Amino acid sequence: MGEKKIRNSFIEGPIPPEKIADSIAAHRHKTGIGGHAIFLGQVRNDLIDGKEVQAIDFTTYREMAEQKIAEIREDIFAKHELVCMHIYHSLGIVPAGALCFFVFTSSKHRKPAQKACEELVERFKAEVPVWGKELFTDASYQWKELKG
Amino acid sequence: MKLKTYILSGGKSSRMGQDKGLQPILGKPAIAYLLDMLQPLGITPVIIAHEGGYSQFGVRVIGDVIPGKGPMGGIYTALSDAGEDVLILAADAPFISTAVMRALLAQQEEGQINVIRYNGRVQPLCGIYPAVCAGEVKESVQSSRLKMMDLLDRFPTHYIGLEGIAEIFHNNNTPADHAAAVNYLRKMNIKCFGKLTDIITEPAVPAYPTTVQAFKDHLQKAYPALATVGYKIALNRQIVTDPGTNICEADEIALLPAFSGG
Repeated sequence: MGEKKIRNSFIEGPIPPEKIADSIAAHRHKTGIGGHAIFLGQVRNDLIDGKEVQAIDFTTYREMAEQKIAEIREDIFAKHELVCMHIYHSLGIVPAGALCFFVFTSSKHRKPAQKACEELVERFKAEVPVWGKELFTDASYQWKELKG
Repeated sequence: MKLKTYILSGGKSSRMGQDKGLQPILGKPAIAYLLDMLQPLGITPVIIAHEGGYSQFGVRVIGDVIPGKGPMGGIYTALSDAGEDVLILAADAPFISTAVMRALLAQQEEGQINVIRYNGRVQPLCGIYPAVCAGEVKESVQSSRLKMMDLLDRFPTHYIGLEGIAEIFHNNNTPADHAAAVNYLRKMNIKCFGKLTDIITEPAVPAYPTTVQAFKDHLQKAYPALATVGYKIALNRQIVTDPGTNICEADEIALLPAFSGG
C-alpha cells in the first residue's frame, strides 16, 4: 500500500453512471486483473407511512469517515489478494433512482474481488459515519434507519 | 495572480504576558490555527516575528525591516521580502476561516489594496496588498504615519463585504478575549450529526475535565428529547465505549447517531 494518499471518497450529488464505465476503462492497462466485482447503491423510493421518498440528503463526519475508510481499505487489502479497490459515496441530495454508493474491487482471480466487495459494503454501512435524510414528496423528512 | 502570504506576529503583548502568536488556546499556539487553516488551501505562509519559538512551525520566519512600526511596518516587511503582491494575516485573529480566505482570493481587484469588511467592520489585517503600493507603505513607515485606515483612504482600496459569526474575526488581545476564544472553540469542538441536529440547537459545553457519562448526563439535562435517540460518542474521531473515559477541553467530541450510509 505504501505512502498515505489523501483520499477523497465523497462526491457531491449522485454518482454519474459514466463514472462506473470510466473506472472500468481506466483499468484496461492492468492486465494482471482477471475479475472485477462492483456494488452500486441506489436511492430507492421507499414508502414510509404512506409517504414516498423522493431523495436522500447525505451528510458525513468527514474527517472520521476518511479515517475509517482508510482503515477498512487497509484491512481488506491485507485480508484479500486484490489488485485494486475504489470506494465512493455521495454527499448532498441524491434523487430516487440515482446512484449514491460505488464499490469496485479487482483481483487476479474472481473470488477475492467478490468477497472483498461484499465485505467492504457491509463494513462501510456499519462503520463509516454517514447519515441519510429521507426527503418525502410532501417536503417533510425523516432520518433514515438501516434495517440490514 | 502571484501572491505570497505573511502572518504578522511581531506585536508586543503587554496585556497577554506572552507573544500573541504563541499564546496557547486549548493547548495549541494561536498562530497554529491560521497555519492549519491555510494548509488545505495549499498556502505556506512566512511568519514575521521577533520572539524565538516560531521556528517550531517549520515555516520561514523573518524579522521586521524597520522594527517598532506596528502592522504598517509588518506590511512593509512583507512587500520588501516578497517583491510581489502579498496576502496579510495577523496572529491575533486566529480563527479566520477558509471561507473568508476564498472570498478574499476570489474577489480581489488587481492593483488595488483588497481588504475584508466583516459584519460592516473593516479588517486591514486581512487583505491583499499589491506590489504597487510598496512605495506608499514605505513612505508611511518612514514618516511614522502608521494608521492603517489612513493608508486605505490614500491608496485605491477594494472592500470585500462579508457577514458571519463574530468569532471568525475574534481578536485575541486580552485575558478576557482568551476566555471567549476558549469558549468558542469548546463549542466548535462538539459536533452533532444526523437526527441529533434536530434536537441539539447549540452544543452545551460542560465543565472540563469531565467523563463521557457526565457529559451525556449534562446534555440530557439540556435536551430532554435526547432520551429518544440512541447515539455514540467519538473522541478525536474514535468511538469510545467506556463511560468513565475522561474528556479534556482539547478533545474533539462528536455525537453520532446510528449510521445510514452505503
